[in-house]
Amino acid sequence: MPVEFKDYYAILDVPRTATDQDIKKSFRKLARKFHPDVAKDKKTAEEKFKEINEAYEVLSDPEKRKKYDQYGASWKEGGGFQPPPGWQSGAGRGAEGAQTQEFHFGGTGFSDFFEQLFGRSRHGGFGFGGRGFEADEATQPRGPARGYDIEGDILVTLEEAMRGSVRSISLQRANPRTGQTETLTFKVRIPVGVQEGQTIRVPGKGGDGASGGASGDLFLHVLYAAHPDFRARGPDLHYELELAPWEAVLGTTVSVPTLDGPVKVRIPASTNNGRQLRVRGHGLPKGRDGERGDLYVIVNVQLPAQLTDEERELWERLSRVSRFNPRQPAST
Amino acid sequence: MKFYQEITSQAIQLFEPDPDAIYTLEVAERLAHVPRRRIVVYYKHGLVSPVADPAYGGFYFNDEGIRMLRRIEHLYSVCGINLAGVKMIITLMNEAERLRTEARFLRAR
Repeated sequence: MPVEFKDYYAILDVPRTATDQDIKKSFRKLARKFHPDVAKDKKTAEEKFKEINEAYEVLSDPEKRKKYDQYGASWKEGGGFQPPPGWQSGAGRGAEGAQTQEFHFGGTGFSDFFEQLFGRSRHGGFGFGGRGFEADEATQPRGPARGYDIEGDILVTLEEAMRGSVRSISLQRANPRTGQTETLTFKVRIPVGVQEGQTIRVPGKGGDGASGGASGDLFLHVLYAAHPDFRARGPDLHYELELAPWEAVLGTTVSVPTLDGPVKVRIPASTNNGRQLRVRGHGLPKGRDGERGDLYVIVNVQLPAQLTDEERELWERLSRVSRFNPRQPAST
Repeated sequence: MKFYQEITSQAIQLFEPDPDAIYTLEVAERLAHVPRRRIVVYYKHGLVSPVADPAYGGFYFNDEGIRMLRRIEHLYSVCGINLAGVKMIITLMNEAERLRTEARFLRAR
């Protein structure tokens, strides 16, 4: 089945030669514009946001980007997307003679294209068609064989982790008996406070069992979607705050966005670049009991790129007056 | 009543996974399709960690534990790797997972 090719570069509106910085900048710009909480047209914005996130997921990772550049470019010649050699090598392993299983995901935030090109190796290693019937018979001579498990990734936005949500998942797979493809659609509730790396087990949505055995389960592996402002590390959020040099030296009060709206943060005088200021309890929920992680504001001092004559004069005056020398801290 | 049933049969199923759900050894045996004796063997080799300490009478697993049991079971009985090998593979996979998360976090700077 040819998988529809997605031009991630076009989605992020960057040239193929774009640097990592360009990609990041463009992602942030677009993600802010199409963020479901901000945009007016929620439905299309959400689709777009997921698309942008998927594109960023690939292009921000040098290894994935290389793979994508290598295989994703051949789509024009072949008409349909040509799967790279070995992309499906894991499927059907574990038992010779077991049918090759193909799954197509929908609603996980990743397109089929992504799933097939970057499907994790554990899809092959664990349950992705791996629990063949022969193998099961060898180890369990009696009794019905259980269906294999299916694993997939699901992109969850930080807002969804905050408030929880309901996602519609569709799973396309070939029926081993009739060879026809059937589509399963069901909804999964994303629990409040779900954390990156957790798995959501959807019982009975894996492969069918043999001779009366139970069906396998579907395991959805939670990945946080990239957010334009925050980076998540466990339940803590990191926010990079850009400051002018004088703000960092003299101290100031700035408004910092959080997931529950902006808060005022006081920047103490002579704050060094890279210093972390903690805003307690403005991170992601740690569970369902209301406890939350912290928001870390990381100071990033930016220097002005261009100076007016007056500014230059003032800096020059400062350099004459100041006795501060960062390279000789002891002797003044 | 009948009308209600017709609607529900056509409605899309909604799963509400309970992240706090814990299962007893018996339920874990059924869910993971691993005999309980083997679960105990896996535990003794330090491959699975029940949520409660068995020393205090609890042998409970959560969904992560069920998934881990299935992974181990797959490596052990389908791929035919012995327990020392399974332990090494699981450790490496967890390490890879952790590093991947860390790389993703750092790359977003």
